[in-house]
Formats: sequence, C-alpha cells, structure tokens
Amino acid sequence: MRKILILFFVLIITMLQLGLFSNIQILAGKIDLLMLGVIAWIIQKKTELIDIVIFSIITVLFIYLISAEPIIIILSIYSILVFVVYWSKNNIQQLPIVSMLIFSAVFTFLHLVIFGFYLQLSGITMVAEEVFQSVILPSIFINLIAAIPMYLLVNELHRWVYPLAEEA
Amino acid sequence: MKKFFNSIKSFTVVLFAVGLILLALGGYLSPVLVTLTRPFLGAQEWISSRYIAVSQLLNAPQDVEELRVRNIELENEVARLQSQIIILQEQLEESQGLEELLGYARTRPQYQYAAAAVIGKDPSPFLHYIIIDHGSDEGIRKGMPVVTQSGLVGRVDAVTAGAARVQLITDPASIVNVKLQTQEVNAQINGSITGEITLDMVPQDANLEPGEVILTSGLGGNYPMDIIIGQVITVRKFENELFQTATIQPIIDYSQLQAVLVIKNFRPVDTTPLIPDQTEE
Repeated sequence: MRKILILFFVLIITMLQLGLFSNIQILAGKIDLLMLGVIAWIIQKKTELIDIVIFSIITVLFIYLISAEPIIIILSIYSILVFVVYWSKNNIQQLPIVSMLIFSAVFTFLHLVIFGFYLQLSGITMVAEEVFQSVILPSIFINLIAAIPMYLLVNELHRWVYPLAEEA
Repeated sequence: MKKFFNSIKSFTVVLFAVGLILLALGGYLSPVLVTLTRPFLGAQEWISSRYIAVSQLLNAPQDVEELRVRNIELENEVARLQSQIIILQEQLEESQGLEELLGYARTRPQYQYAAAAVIGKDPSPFLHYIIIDHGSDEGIRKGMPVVTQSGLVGRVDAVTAGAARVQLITDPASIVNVKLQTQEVNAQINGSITGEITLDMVPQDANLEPGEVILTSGLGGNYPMDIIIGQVITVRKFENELFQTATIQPIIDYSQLQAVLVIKNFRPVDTTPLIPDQTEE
C-alpha cells in the first residue's frame, strides 16, 4: 500500500509538471517539481531508506519517459542528490525546512550546470553568462518559491504513508 | 298652525338639500368639500399605512424565505449557464483550431496528416520539446515533421504507443535547412536555450533585409520544402565574417501550441551513412 501511494503521488506530480508547471517560466527558468518532491521526501523524519530509493527510482523513470534529457545525466544527479540529502538528514539536519531550501537551490544549480556542460560538449553553443542569467538563476528562484509548498505537500503524504510512526 | 309650520320646515329642508346638491353639481362647493374632507383623508392615510406596515410585518418572513430559495435557484442556474458557456467557448476555440488545421491540410493534399493535441512540455529549461497525444498506434514514427496551419513546429523525436515527443525548431539542438522566399539563397536556422531562432550560414553577398520570409528548403531530407518558419527581424552583417546572421520572428507562438498536425507520409532521409567521417568510424 505504501509503495502504491508513493507511485500514485509521483504520477500526480509528474502530470502536474508536464501539463502545468512546465508552462510556468521566469525568463527561461522552470520549476523542477519532481526534484523538489524527492528532496522533500528524503528529508522527512523516519522515512525508510527503501522508500527513498523507490521514490527516487520511480521519479527517474518518469523523467526519462517525459524528458529528452539523457538518462545518464538524470541518474547521476539523482544518485548524488539521494546520497547527499540522506547523509545530511542523518548527520547534520536540524530543521527540515531549512534543508529543503538549501538543497533545492544547490541541486537545481548542480543539475543545470552539469546538463549545461553536457550540452556544451554535445556541440551546442551557449554563452555562460546568458545561461546563468536566463536559466540557472531564474530556475533557482522559482524552485525556492515552490520548495516550501512542496515540502508541506510531501509532509502530508508522509503522514498518510507512515501514520503509526507519526503517532508514536 | 303647527301642521303649517311643520310643512314649511320640511319644505325648507328639502329646498336647502336641493340647493346644496345643485351647488355641488355646479362645482361651487369644491373648496368647502376639500377643506372638510382633508382631516378625514389624513386620518385615512395614517390608518392605511399602519395597516400595510402591520401586514408586511406579518407576511414578510414567508416572502423573504421564498425569495431566498428563488435566489439560490437562480444563482445555481446562472452558475450552470456560466459553466456551460465556458465549455462551449472552449469547444468553439478547439473546433476553430481544428478547422484551421483542416483548412491547411486541404491546401496540401499530397500529405497525409494526423491531428494531435499538445499535452505537455519537457520539464528541462534547456530543452524545447512538447508531448503530443498520438503515438505509434496512430502511425506516428520518429522523424516525422510536425506543422500547424501557420508553419513549421518541429519533428517527432521519440514515440510511445499513445504519445510522442516533438523537438521544436526553437530547441538548441535543432537545425533546419531553410531558404529565403524572394531569393535563391539557402541557409539554416538554429534554436537556442532562450527559444530564439537564429538564421545562419547566409552568404555575405545575399541581400538579407528585415521582413524577409523564411521557408524550409527541403535540403537534407528532414523536412518538406516551402513550409513557413518566420520573418527576419534584425540582420547582423560583419565584413570579417564568412556569413551573415539574423534573428527570426517565428510565425508560431510556441508557448501557446494546443494542436498540431503530424505529416505521416513524409519519411525523413537518413544521410548518416553518406557522411565519410562517420562511415569510417
């Protein structure tokens, strides 16, 4: 049941991302709802590692299905993200909401920089300053705006998925 | 004697009454009557207004309740009709769009089209792709050109059974061979991360001016020829460069795409084996 709920939730945010949030732009920056969902899921207290892995794998699969982004980039980014955020949750994290904001900004930046380099290596000419001003900064800004609502939404999902753990 | 006085009294009374009636009929008594009846009319008005007030007080709750129920009914009716109007407007817009697409298809009968709705966009800010609701089940294949009634959209990049991903010509990895409408000059257009389209590889001797219409040339075999792309806005020409470049205003607003046509009977030509470097590798 827990896995079905996770699958259902990722499916919903994928549909929202595809049909709604991909159209919302600041300059060329877009919200990455799926990445925010994974970060918010990992930083929830008492989330089991297996559920984090399942959530992340489902997300990566959905991104692979809907996006033209190479799977190697998606896999690399999400592997680093899961490792770093999970380690941080167990060793550093004090306030989940602060972690949410920091990791949203950091991984949006990292994701776009890595993908930008990949595109550059693929032969697509890009001006670094233009990429930074039109894509990276607006994306970080818009993701920071969406981070807190996403955290609250995932927190609600967490209460449904782990009702007993919350009560205890 | 007494009888006589009684008859005179009666006669006087009758005469007086007849006189009054005649005076009243002649209108001579109106001022007197108005003066006399005014206090009565005032009193009557007061009584009548008090009656109406009491009557309203007693009947009002029932009327308000009835009105409230009626109001709710009418509000529901208005809400229903408004939602119906919105649905009809959406259907009208959709049918107008499809009608335009159909009109375009009729003007180019040599191609077979499949109309598809746009159902999503690629989440990456670097990429300009759309998702359409037709896939391999409807005969869509990779590489098929995608157009609207206005001009070129892009080409199919990936296909599943029920959906397909289309690379827009604004995508940074997109290159389309084009020609100028008024001159025999071939060039190419490139997309960019911001969605701008740049015309490139225009020879220095070509007379490129703002307003020039850009069409697909058909070279390379990826797109059919003579599909409109846009117009030249600004030209950049430097003596020390091999080619001129220009910014293109696309004819389609790619952020507002709702429905597209996939050209099903156009098979792109795979020129990869003909490129020497790649075959050697």
